[in-house]
Amino acid sequence: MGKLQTLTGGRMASFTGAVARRPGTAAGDRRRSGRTTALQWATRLILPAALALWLLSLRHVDLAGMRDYGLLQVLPVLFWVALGLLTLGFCLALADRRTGGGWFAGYVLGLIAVIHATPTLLYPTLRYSWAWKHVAVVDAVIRHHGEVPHADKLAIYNQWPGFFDLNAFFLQATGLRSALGYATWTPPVFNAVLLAPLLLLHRTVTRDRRLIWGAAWVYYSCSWVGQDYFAPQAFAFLLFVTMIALVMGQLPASALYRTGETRTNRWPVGRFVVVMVIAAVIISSHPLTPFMLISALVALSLPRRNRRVVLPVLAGTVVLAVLWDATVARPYLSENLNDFLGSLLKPDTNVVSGLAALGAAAPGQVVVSWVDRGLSAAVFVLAAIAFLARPWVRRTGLPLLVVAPLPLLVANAYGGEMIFRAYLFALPAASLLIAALLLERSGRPRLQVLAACPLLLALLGGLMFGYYGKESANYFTEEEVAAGRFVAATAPPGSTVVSLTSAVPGLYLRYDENPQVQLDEQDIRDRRRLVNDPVKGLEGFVKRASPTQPAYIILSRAQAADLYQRGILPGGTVQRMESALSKTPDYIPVYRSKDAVVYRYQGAKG
Amino acid sequence: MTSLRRGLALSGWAAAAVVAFLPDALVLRAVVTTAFLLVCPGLAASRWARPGAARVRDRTAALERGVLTVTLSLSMAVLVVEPLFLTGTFTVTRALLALAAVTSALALLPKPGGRRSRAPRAVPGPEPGSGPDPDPDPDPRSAGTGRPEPPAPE
Repeated sequence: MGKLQTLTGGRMASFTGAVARRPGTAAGDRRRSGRTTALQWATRLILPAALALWLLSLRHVDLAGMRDYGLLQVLPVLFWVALGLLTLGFCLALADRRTGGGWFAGYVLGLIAVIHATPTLLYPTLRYSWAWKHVAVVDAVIRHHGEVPHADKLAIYNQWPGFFDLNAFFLQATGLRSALGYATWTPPVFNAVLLAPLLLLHRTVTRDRRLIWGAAWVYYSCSWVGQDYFAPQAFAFLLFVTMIALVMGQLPASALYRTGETRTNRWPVGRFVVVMVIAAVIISSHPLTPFMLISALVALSLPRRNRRVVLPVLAGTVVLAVLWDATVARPYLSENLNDFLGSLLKPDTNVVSGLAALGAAAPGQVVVSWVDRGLSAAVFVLAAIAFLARPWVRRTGLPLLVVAPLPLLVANAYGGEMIFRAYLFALPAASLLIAALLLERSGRPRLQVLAACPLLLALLGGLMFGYYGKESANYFTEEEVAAGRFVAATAPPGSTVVSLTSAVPGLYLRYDENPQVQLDEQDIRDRRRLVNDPVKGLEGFVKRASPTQPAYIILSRAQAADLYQRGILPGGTVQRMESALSKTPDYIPVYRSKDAVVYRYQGAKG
Repeated sequence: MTSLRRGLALSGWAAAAVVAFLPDALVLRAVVTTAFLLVCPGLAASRWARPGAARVRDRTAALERGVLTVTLSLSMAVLVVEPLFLTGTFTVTRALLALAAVTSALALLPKPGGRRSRAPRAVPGPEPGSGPDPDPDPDPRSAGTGRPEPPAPE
């Protein structure tokens, strides 16, 4: 190892270097002071102006007009002006050496609000069908005082119940009736809360405010995967970033420590207990995140200098994970072990399984998919360039954290999601690498920021495609919610609930009592039969229906949008099914509104 | 003992009393229990786990304490209720009492190895090239380096 360089020494050198570049003459100071004041005023005015324009832009948005590009095509010009202004203001803040942390925080929180609170403010109901599903799981946990019986494919939640148990406890302690109210606000609140551990993580490698806040901005500009709704993944990800920040802060190269401050390179007992508590909660709350955590810890332990810190945490995490998987999660793992082993033997299919069937998807969705992929590729390419162009980042754990999720790509497809999850877990570290590439102080900081601004805008534009482009299937009208609630309230226990896709709010409200059939997940032959003749195609799925345990078929607007977007079934399938069922006397319409219809089938007559 | 520690030690019992005596729909109950569940166990734990006083005034230490307050509060709640749900013995009162007891213990206990720990060796800083640090930390009190820091830019 070479001689250790002190942080303060580096800072002072940099500081004195800045003085040398700009001799402190009175005239020079006045000029600089004047320019800086103008920049400061601009920074302070643009933030409230952008937020005001954003709120004004949300007054008249025609949500019914969403098609191929979701919210992108219905948001007014004023919204985009506000977003552009916000980015410009942030760039001006970066260009000013004296911008305080409070203004940076204001801009990043403003960005979070604009991106993540917009759907919450616009939509009359909870966004995204999986968020509805998780609300239903919390309700079921409360009803059953724990493990939910007859959970079928949702049994996985019984084996990793941390998030659901926490919400069940919270609801009963506070006396609130349902998680629906706060689940609606989860995306903006989660992202705002995540900012703190992100900053902590970034502060472990640098104390340059511009890099730290620039990295936070890059993170929120690139986090298009959308794993920020009411879900165990969001909860576990928050804990993951916190835990990695604590481990990074303990490493020998951490920037958290100052010259003269003391440390031992060993974990203080209390701090180690804290890290293990967080690891235990991650392990008991989400099946995938522990693997990401172990992979990240293995990567961080590769440099010899880190091992004294990382290996105890890695060992503790592995032991806890094995204990959990051998006990509580054992039923699920033993049932799915063959699938898991099969996945290990077919790494190529795991990597590509997350990609959409582009040939059959809606034309706009093809564009959205390519923009998603372009943004993801750009993030990795920029991070790689930073690795080459900024030698100091190689001494940090960041490059290791970027590549750490990649081995899991070959291990399991995770329902086609693995490639997106790998991106999500790489992004906190990648964002600081990108910030270092774009914003690291040079001789001409304003020119540098001017050059970085278009790139920040481009990244943000890419995010809007990925995050807003699929909203026509994620948004539900009140009529659709009423249809889902109608089925949950009126279907006798044992009834089969049939839908074309999962894009039905409240589809799982009674998943422990009523078996679910989702037609887009069925075998290709069954789907083809359904397309050729909807009534005959349905027969196999509703044959157990009886007057006491009928089948309910839900057809709705969001399902039609979902099918159109993904192309799993032809776009007009919902309309053709509705037309065919309405002509068949055995299918009785029991609920009908502008956006949804429910048929009851209780067996063929005669 | 500081008033913060005394308050933390009592907070869980107060939340349990509120849940026991106030009806479901009351806003006060929701506010008190939410505040307790999101803040108190984590604050008590992060105070207990803090390695030393060296970084108390550092802005990063404050950020870290804020992060740990929320994440540890949620984590401890999960670790308390999971065994209760898994064994079918969950009640709100049991969970709150368990969490109150843990919070009290963490608030009242001395830090682990506090007085007995040896003075750790000084580490001068990160290794060569571990990152640029051109921007001074805005908190001039946080140095403790024996060298003057550049003035905080405002």
